Formats: sequence, C-alpha cells, structure tokens
Amino acid sequence: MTRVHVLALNQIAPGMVLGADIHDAHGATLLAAGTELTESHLASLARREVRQAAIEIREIFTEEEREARREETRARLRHLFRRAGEGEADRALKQTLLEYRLEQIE
Amino acid sequence: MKVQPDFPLDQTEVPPASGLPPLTLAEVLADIRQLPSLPAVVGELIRTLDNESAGIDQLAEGIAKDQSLAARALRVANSPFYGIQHKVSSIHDAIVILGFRAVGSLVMAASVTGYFTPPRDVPFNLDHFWRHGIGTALCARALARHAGLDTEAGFSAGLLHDIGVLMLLTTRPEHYAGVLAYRDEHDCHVPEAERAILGFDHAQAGEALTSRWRFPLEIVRAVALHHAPAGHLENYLAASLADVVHVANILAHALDLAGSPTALVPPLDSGAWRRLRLDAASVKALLPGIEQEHESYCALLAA
Repeated sequence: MTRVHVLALNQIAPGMVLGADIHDAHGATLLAAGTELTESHLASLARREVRQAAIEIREIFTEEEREARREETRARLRHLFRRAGEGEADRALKQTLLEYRLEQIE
Repeated sequence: MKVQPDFPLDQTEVPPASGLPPLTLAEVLADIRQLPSLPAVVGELIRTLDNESAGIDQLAEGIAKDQSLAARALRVANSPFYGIQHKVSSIHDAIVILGFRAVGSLVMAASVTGYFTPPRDVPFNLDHFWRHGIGTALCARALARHAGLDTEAGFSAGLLHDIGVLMLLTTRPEHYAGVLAYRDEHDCHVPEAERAILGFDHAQAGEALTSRWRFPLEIVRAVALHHAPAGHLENYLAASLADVVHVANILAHALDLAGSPTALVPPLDSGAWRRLRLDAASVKALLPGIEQEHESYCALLAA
C-alpha cells in the first residue's frame, strides 16, 4: 500500500517516486505523478525554485496487519455510510468504496 | 430567491438553544445585506469563471491587481495545518505545484472563505471544514471533467458549497452552536439539524449569499441544490453543476477526506448519478487521482 507525503526538496533523494504532478507557472506539467526522480530532475526542480513535492511512500505489511487493516476499513465504511440512502446508486457507491479501499491494502 | 423558510420552525418540539429567539431566513438575508462587499477583484475572478473564453492572462491580471488578496492567499497557504514546515513565499510557488487555473479559482475561493472568521468559542473544526471543502472541490472537478462540464466552475462551486455554514456560524454563532449540539445529539445530517433548530438550512443561506455576491447563476444553483439537485425542473434534463456538486459532496464524505470522526455520507440522488453517467467502474477510476491531489492541496491551502 502506498501513501503520498509532501516533502521539502532537500528531504527528497534520487529514486523516490512522485505522488502528484508538478506544474510550471503556465500550468504545463513539468514532471508527472509516478516519475522516479533522478539527480538531474532534482537539480532542475531546484533551479526552478520548486521547494517541495508530493512523494509516494510504499509501506509493507504482514498478512496479519493487512487483515487488521481490512477490518478497520470495513468498520470505517460502515460508520461513514451509517445514514446513507438505500437506493441502487447509494449501494453502488458504497460497494465501489469498499473495493477501492480493500485493493489499496493489497 | 426564497424569503420564507421551507420548513416552519416548530418551537414546541425543539426550543431554540439556550432560550434564544428563533431566527428566520429573512433575518439572515438582512445580515447578508449588512456584510461588507467582496473585494472588486474577486467579482472579476468570479465573472471570468462564467466566461469560457476567459484565459490565463485575465486571471493572472486579476490576481496581480490586488496585493492584499495575493497576500491572503499566501497566508492561507502557510497556515499551520497538516505539518507543512516549509514556507510558500509566492503565488508563483503555489502555481508551480498546483497549476495555473486551479490557483485562479483557489485565490477567488480563498478570499471568499477567508472573508468569514468564525468565533473561537463555538465547537467547530475549521480544519475539517476546509479539508471537506477542498475534497469536494477536487471531486467536483473530476466529475465535471467526466461529464464534459466546466472543470473550474465545478472546483469553485465544490469549494463554496458549504459557505452557508461558515456564514451562519460567523453571523449567528449562538444559534449555530445549537445546530451543532442537535447534530451531535441525534447523529443526523447537518441540514436536518439546521431545519430543526433554525427552520432553514445552509444551502438556502448559501444561495442567498452567493446570489447577493452576484456569482454566476449555475454556481448559485449548485450551492442551493447540493443536497437536492432535482429541485429545479431543468435539472431533470441534462447534467448540471448542481448534479456535480451533489455527487462531489457525497464522494468527498465517502472518501473520508475531512478526517472528521462524525463524518456522514448523505443520501445520493439517483437522477444526478444517472445524468452524470456514473457507474461503479467510472467512479472508481476517479478515486486515486482525487486522493493524491487532496494531499498536496490540503498541505498548501488549508486554513
């Protein structure tokens, strides 16, 4: 499972993966999410006075930890949807969120 | 604009908190007329949202014209929230990270939301409010793109959809404290608590406020109808910004973007879902991008 954290440029090392696009002043994308940063990327960002970037952090869990997370996820969704509607669209949304969250854990 | 509340206040069932006199929507309208007007540049920014040919240059000019607005946007960007340790020192920095049109709508919206300062003694979490507002804005942008509607109008309407809450909290804090207490006691949806205590809800207050401020009609409607997007007849026909904001609000709650322990997913209007041509697969495809963006937006912009 990966999480995205915003880090200062001086905390970012080559090999880290961007978790969000970086844009220039005209809205054009300088570097896309998913890019594995190199020394020269970092130098170029520093020249453009980019001071921070969103970085993907990969976390590794044991099967036991994953099961605990699955249970937490189901409980939180039950809580969030405790007063949701009961129509087809409401159910589709809840099911979609459940699948999405469980896939994030794998 | 509605002047009379849709739901008459039933004083025998629910006495106003701490013996306050009942509040009417007409009094809220009077409050709104006494609010100082928005900075002129905000009006310009809002109108550029209504104009599809308005370009980057117009927005840039609008922001540059008002130093205090730019300063306020940076103050928002640098507020002590979510552990961001590094100073964002220019609009340029914000643009580098977020993109240009996005900053235009953010500067506009930051100035509108920054306009209200709720009193500190009311138990209201402004961080959660902002995280939900930013989350709804990002969901609305993604849904608008999916439905072929204007993405930045979606973003702005999403960010402002609960502006009525902030206004009521600021102008009538004692009444709104009663709403918050009722909500916690009954664990109900916020509009239910508002109708029980005030006799009207934040969507009506937001409608009155945004139309007073001459926002584009579609944004006023989206704010007014975000809990009931089928409330206008023409909305039965084609997907509207109200549909976008309705589903965006629900999606933001379902994604838990506010981080509030009391978060509650409201009922979904099946018509809005259908008009936006949504299904499980198309919604699921939007979620990772929304979550990624939410991290960087909150780090930069939360109050």
